[in-house]
Amino acid sequence: MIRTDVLIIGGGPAGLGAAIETTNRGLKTLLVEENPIYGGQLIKQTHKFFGSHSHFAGTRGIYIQDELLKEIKKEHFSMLPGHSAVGIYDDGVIGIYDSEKNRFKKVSAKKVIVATGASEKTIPFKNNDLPGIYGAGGVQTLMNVYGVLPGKKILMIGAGNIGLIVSYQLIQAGADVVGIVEALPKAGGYDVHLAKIRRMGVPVFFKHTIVEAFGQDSVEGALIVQIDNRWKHLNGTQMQLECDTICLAVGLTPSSEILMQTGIKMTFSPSLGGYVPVHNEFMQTSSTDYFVAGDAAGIGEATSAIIEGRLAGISASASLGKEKNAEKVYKEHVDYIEKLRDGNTGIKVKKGKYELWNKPWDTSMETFEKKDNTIKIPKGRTKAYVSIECYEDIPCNPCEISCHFKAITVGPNITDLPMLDLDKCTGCMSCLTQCPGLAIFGINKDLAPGRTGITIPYELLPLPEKGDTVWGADRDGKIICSARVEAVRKNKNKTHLITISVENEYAENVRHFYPGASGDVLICRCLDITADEINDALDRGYTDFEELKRYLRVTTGPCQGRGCRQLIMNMIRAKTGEDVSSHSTGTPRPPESALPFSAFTKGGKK
Amino acid sequence: MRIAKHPILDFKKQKRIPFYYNGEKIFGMTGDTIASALHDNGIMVYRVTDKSRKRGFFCAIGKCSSCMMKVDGIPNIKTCVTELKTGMHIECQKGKGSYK
Repeated sequence: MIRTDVLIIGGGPAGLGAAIETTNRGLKTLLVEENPIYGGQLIKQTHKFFGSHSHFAGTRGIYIQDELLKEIKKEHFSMLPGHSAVGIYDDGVIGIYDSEKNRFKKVSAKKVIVATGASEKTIPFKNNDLPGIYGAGGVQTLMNVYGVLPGKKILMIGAGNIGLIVSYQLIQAGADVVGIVEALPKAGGYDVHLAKIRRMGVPVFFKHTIVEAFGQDSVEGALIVQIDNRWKHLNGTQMQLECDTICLAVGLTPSSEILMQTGIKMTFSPSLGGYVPVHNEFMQTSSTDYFVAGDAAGIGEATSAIIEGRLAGISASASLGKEKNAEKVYKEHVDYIEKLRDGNTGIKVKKGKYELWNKPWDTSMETFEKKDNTIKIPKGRTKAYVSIECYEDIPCNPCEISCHFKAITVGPNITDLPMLDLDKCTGCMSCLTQCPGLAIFGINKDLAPGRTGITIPYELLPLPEKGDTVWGADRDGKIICSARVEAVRKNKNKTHLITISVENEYAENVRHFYPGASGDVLICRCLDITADEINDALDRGYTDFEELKRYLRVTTGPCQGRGCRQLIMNMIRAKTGEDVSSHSTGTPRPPESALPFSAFTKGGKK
Repeated sequence: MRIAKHPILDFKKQKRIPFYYNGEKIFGMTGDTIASALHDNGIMVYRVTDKSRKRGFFCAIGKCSSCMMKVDGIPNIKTCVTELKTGMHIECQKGKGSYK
């Protein structure tokens, strides 16, 4: 029997958060984690987190578990990876299974904190069990933890935050997202996440659903259909999409089965994603021996899971007499979590929790007073500035912290929109690299006559090079003009800044670019002579066919100018504006096509 | 398919390790789970159910039971959370699995 003060089940953000609090209060803490690696879902979150700068905002999820581990007091802490908790028995003994050694072990703990996370939901459609149909979290694990791509052409089902973020990550990993299917008329996830993938040209099929998947051994395609407000399929709108992977991002449900074995009170809460253990604001369940935190206590996001874990840790410590000032310590965490849940995605969770706590709910809390943060750019402003395209109440403030000139204000209420003071903005573009939503762009109207510089936060490969010609795309990913790469600024945090220039008239709309094809325009195929070489010669004054022929040897190859003569004459006309019809185009001489010399010798001898 | 280059992540170069799939020798990398190594080899069907439905992996975190296979003669191993070891014998599982 392993004896411990506190047993934590689950080594994700909530479990690690709880361990910080219990170990720092001197409680002997054991943490069991089913997977061989710690961090739960953090280990695959390659994007920067929203939230307050003081709580990891702007940090990529993959770095957060190490930060949490640093805060845990090691002398009171032991971890068992590859161990899953499989049962809580009537006498309070917890059974754990060591998958490596195939051994069942018993644990006796004074308090148990359950931070077991969530399971992925699935939806019914024909052949929904076909290999190649994966949960969004599964896809993330495969590509971001093990470095294996799930497929080449992905169809995403669901435009919530997970669907949008995983789509973006799939593109970063080199896959092609053929579309996102969403039953609702709008994305459930944040606008900035939607904007990121929209400008890369990913089609989003709103008011659509998947009807069937097809394929022999694995996915080869899907059939989707438009639905009306009552979810009825609209005939004639069926569409077949070719894909080798279907990724389901249709929600998560709390995974707290192990707690149900203890007979604690459970409740069904649609706002929290399903069956959750009844718990108070400090994460204690209906039993003083069991605490719950993170997604197991209602689906939320990782930052609030860390905070819930900390609350559960404090609560468990208080119940063991190791925290006398609990009420005071709770406050900071409770206040922050309330703020995190003020945004339009968090409010659902807040409502679910309020119902659980029998706290009065005011529906006015569900609507937000939005400040207008659009700014008018004075005519004649030539100094570079930033365009903040963040119009939604996201609990987030790294832009404010990153500005050295105090030009951006979010304020104490982190769901408020960022306001830009144009007079203070120097156009330094620091904020572009920090915004987790990649929603800030740099504008420089003074870059070159008639051209505007647009600086784009960029997290894709390959990075372009200065001087490259690329295609400027608008917010829907549609190519609208040609653009030139003016600067490439690499950043340590891997959000690089690419400045492209476009003609002024496109400046308002270009927010992305596609690399142009590298290569040349060939004019003379026989001798590999390019349009650039001919234009260069024309610029040097060789504006006559006979001159070009002697200078570049065009038309002197085996084809005798059949392929290029006309093209070259057109280029001369375009350059000089002269009527070239009377110009010499060379003098054809025999032989008309290449012959072996031996053909001319007597009797064909060498 | 391994991701060769990633804009955010640095995948450390790993050692290739041999293992067997239905008797055929193939390769994975150190740090792989059985499921990730099979997927990299283009193998997507991990078991065939009693009703002849083909199943691959799904959740990758050991919750859904979709990826259970026969590993070194033992059926019903969750391959998405089981580390790949040199020389392992992995078999596509038939039905509920057997020790035979």
